[in-house]
Amino acid sequence: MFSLTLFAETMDYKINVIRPRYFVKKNRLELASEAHMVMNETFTYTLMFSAMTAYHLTEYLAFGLDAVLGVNFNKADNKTLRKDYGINIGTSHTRYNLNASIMWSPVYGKYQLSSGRLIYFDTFFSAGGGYSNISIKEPSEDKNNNKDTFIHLDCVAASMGAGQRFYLNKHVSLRWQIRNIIVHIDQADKTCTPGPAENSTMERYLYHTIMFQAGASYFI
Amino acid sequence: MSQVIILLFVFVAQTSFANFKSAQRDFVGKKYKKAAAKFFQIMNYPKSTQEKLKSEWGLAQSLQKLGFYYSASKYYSVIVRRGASQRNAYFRKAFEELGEINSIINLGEAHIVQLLKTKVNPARIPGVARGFYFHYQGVNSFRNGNYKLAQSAFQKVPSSSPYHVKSLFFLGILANMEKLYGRAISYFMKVKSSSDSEWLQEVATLNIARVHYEARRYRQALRYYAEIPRESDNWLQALFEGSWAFFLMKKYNHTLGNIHTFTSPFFHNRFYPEIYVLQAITFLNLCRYDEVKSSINKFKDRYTPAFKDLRKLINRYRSDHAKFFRLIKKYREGSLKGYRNAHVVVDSLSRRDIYKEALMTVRFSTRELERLENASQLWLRSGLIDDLKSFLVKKRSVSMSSAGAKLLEGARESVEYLTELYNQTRFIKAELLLGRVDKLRSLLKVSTAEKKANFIGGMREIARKSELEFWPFEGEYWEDELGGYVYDIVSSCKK
Repeated sequence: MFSLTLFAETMDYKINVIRPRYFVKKNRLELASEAHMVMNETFTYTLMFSAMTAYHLTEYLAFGLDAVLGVNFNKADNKTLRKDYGINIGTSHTRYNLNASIMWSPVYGKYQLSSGRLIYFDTFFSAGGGYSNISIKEPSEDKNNNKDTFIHLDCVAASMGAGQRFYLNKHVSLRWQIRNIIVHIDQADKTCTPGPAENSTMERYLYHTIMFQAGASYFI
Repeated sequence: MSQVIILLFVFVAQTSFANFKSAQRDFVGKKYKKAAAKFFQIMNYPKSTQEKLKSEWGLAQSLQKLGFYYSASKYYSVIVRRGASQRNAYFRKAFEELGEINSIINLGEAHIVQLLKTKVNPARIPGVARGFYFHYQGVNSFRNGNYKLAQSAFQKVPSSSPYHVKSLFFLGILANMEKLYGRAISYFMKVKSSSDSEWLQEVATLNIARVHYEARRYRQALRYYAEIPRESDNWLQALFEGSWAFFLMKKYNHTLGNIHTFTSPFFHNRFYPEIYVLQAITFLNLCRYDEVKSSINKFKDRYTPAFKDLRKLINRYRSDHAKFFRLIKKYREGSLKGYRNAHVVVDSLSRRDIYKEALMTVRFSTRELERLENASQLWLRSGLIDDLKSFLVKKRSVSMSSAGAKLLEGARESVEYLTELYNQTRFIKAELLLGRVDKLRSLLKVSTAEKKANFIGGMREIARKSELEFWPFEGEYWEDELGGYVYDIVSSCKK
């Protein structure tokens, strides 16, 4: 790193590479599909799949819509607690999410593999909002009755994330991102509240679904 | 007694005639190995001239069917060299077959030149072979400097012939030599649009660029230079010639940017010594005298050691051309240890068409010789193997020595070229030392400055809505950046 900087500093002129961009996103439609793994659930696994479409207005800015659908499984710990210790944990997970977002891709770079092949990539940040369906499991308090109660809430959600795309050719890229979908839930009445209630002692909290997503996209 | 003799004669005649018939039967029954051996025997001991001619033809056909193309060409050539006459019934067909074989594997220039020495009435050349005949007549005349004859020959190549497009290419070169630029471009455009060969399309594009360059239409020249793809063997040559076009347009940032590609480790072994001189005179025009000296020194450091090794090489192989060819082959195979400083010139010689064509001839000859090792006992007993071996060994040897002679001539030209460039650098350095900078710059005065044209890296003009990427060069050469460099340097000349 030091020698490279020294090279640049010893000359009173510069040498640049100016050429057409390898992967042009402007005015192109991106279609993507990803698998998601929710990372912040202690007692359940939630796997989700999404389909996304985004239109790139410029090289740096895109507008996207995505739909995410999930399936949920109990973790072994959860089963052990219930079976061996009679403890029934209340859980919640996102069942589906519909989202619109803006993506900003300020970083464009390249990487050379040991074989000599070059991989171009960019880094993007996304922010948006949409709709999430949260499923909350109310554990049954009657030990003789194992029927749990499920409440499904449709809540307005906000999302934010960061990720990267690796371009395989002029149409296809592999992508990954970490995204957080945030929903505001009223714990007491199990509703989605748009804002804090006045004079209320009810517990409200932000429900986070932090997902690791990976998939592929195709640019038309 | 006379009756006995007559009976014997009839018996022998019948036996010979039966052998020819049996050879024909074998040929028709696709038993080509047997047929070839029999035809060879009959050819050497014919009962009549007709039988000899027929068996010659039969032998050539059998060998061709077995994929022994060079071997077959020997006998076809014998028929053709006999000339067109009523007695030589297979002349036309043999000519056609030679043309057919040449389109599969190159017979080699030496072989074809021998064929063309036969005095033939062009009207007797069969339709299918006319393209082959006139194209190579044109090529031969072109190489000997008979340009009018060459032009006339190329124009006779029929448009349906597979040699038509190559002939158009030569016609373009000839038109350019007469400074008929429009016509030359039109010929090269036809080659581009009608050729299936990517290589020929690229070379046609390169030549269109060169015609524009000669006509001082540098902007158009660069447009065509930029079309040569990065993966092409011609790309570096296009970049080099484009550098001169930029220089003549006074686009010094692009001249220096193009030259920067040549200094990368990727092209360390490529022979473009002139880039240092171009770099020096570009810096001179920018009044950057330290950089001028640095360019001259780089040229000397790089090429002065090459002189010694080159002269050794030329002296050693001046009388053994085949060995020189083998040396170049050794270099291409990566096993040449000696003459390290001359490797850069050896590399450039190994990229020439002469070397590549001769190498193909050597390879095909060797392949046929190897196949002969496993040929049947029939061939061995009949003497066919020995006959073919001697032909193929000679063909290989002639090809190597003929190519070796031309490559050695190329090496001599490289020495003269380097000497000339070396003298130019000494002249520049001397003038700088004597302070005659203005005089020197006046010699390099370029009148054509195209201010309207703006270029990015890769010799491309900026398109209005194109998305560009911009990477600063910080001492590291990336393969994808080669050819895309542009300097950002300001002239130090006092206004």
